Amino acid sequence: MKKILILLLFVTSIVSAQKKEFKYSLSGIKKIVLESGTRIVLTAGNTTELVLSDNANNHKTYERDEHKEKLKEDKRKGLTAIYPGGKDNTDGFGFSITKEGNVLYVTDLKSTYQRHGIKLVLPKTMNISANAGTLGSISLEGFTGEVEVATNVGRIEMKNVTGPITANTSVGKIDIDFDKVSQTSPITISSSVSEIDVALPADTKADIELRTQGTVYTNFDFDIPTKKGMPNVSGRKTINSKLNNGGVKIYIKSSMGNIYLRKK
Amino acid sequence: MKHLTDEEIMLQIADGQLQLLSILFDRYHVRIYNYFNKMVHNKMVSEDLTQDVFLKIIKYKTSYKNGNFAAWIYTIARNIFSSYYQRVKKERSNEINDDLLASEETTVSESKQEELDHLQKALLKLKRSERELIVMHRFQEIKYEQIAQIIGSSENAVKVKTHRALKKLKEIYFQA
Amino acid sequence: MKCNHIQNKLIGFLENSLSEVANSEVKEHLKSCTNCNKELEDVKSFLNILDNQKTEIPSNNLRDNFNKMLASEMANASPKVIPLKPQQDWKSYLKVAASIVIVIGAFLFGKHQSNITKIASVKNEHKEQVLALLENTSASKRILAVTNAEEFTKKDTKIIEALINRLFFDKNANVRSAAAETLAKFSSEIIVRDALIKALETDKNTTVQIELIQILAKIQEKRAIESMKKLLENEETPQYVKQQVELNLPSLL
Repeated sequence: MKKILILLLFVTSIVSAQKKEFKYSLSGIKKIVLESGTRIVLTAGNTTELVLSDNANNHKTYERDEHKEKLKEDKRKGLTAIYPGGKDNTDGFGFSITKEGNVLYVTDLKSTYQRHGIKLVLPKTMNISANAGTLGSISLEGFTGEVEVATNVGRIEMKNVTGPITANTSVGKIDIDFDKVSQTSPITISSSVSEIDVALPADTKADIELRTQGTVYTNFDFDIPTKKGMPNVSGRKTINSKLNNGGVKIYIKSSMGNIYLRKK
Repeated sequence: MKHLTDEEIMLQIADGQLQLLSILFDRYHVRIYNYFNKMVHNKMVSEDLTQDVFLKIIKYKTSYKNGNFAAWIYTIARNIFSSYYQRVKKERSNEINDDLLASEETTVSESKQEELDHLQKALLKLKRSERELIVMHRFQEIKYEQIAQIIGSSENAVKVKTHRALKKLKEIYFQA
Repeated sequence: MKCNHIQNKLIGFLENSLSEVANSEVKEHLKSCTNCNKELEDVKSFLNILDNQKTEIPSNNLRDNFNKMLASEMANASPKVIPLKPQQDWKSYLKVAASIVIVIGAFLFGKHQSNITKIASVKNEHKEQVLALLENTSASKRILAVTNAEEFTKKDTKIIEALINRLFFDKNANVRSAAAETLAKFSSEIIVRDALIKALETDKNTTVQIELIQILAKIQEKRAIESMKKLLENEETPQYVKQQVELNLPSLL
């Protein structure tokens, strides 16, 4: 019944350009592994379900295409979309969802060019692993579980997180704002060229390792031991320091970009 | 780690070193997959059954007692095939009447007939036990002695049965 | 009648599995019987057909599913990695006791923050725990294990092999980078050097590539010059990676 309702909602939403949603129960799930090549927005919600929706903020184009969409919809009547990457089991959303033990794999079956962003609402404590492919970006807020993200050119943005965080991008900018810092296991943030901007609470206990050929800017008090010997061939510089007598390891590495480490 | 024998690795797995199973997977999965695929001629089913074998290895790891690993893994594979076969047979007998099934000692309908080549068709006309001997001996190149160990028979009996099965297969093959 | 008897033995004859008596009996008969010779050819060609059956390669799904299955089994099993072998003396009991402490420690790991350093030092004696942690589903935990692996010596081939495994196969680029960094500490080992060069040729992630370029320059691995030049020549290599090569290559020449 619920499914039919959602399906109805989905069908009507194409015409009226309303927000469409797909829900999936997360009982027994500890971790979500998400793959999609688009702009991914993840929000922590007061929910026990995964709530998936399109996040095209460009509603104008949609309205203009409304007529076209309707024609397309008529064409699709009685047919089902099939994809090379797996079976769509999200009522036409174009995602494949599979459960393996306590891990849920959510894989986008549509290509980057067909998506204009997706939005997921997940329980606050969920562990998340998200990969935005070649072109996608990731933005998430409010999670207290472990977060793993990877992008290529897209930006990585996190707010109100606690870690453990493992983030990597080649070209995208990274901005991470910690609420507090979980001492469970290491935090690693790395980028090849772009700048990394990290904000930590003033009382964070951590062993920090910063490495870049760019410049590090911070308002934390760093006690930097002066090292002699070993000429630095590659021009790479490492700064090690303890914050508040030390704690969890935090690695921040950018090959060429600047590192901004802010005290809040 | 790569130079350890199957048995040494399996003992460590039994000891809780589950990650080592990936080495045994590398060594055996193609063989086990081909065993199933020759038996049922269905790729999807064969992959599933192969996966089952490795899951069972984990579940029953403590029951492994230092014996020949190849024999052990094939014993597991045979058991899995057996229960799969019983299940399919049961499912099918619910649909079709039993007499028809009794005369058809194969799982042919599992696969699309037209896709099978001539040899495969002939193979599937053999009895399950005959087919298995040929698959193990000719395709998997397991020695008679080891097959005997796996199916719990004597080397000589296995040899005679295999030869008989081969002869039968040859007749079916050239006849059709 | 005689022919029938011989024909039943032809397969065994071809397989060389007949008794000596039976073998010479068949040989003798074949000298004079055209019928059985023809049958022999038939059997031969038929066995040939059988033996030419190619081995089918299963799809990648099989390996993927296996890896997932193994990971989840390992995750389920991790709270009880106590060795089950019969214990022979009091020392082993101590070991069990110690490993129970560690297991409990690992269990409380997530909840009690200050335990980290303690566990890290106990781990030194218990590389099994590190090895298991290297396969953890959490990337952050794997990084922890990779960094802890520094404490072992180059004689711990298991650790080194596990690290190389991470360097090549870990899905997470940060784990691969960290593995490369730890491996650099074991660079006196030739397999480590080989692995680092190989990884530079195969890894597609630019962060990992840059890490490897810097490490290979630092350990003065001249055999990497070839791979670095290849990166420079490859049109698909991003400019900023080439820049790193140009920066580091001169130190090797």
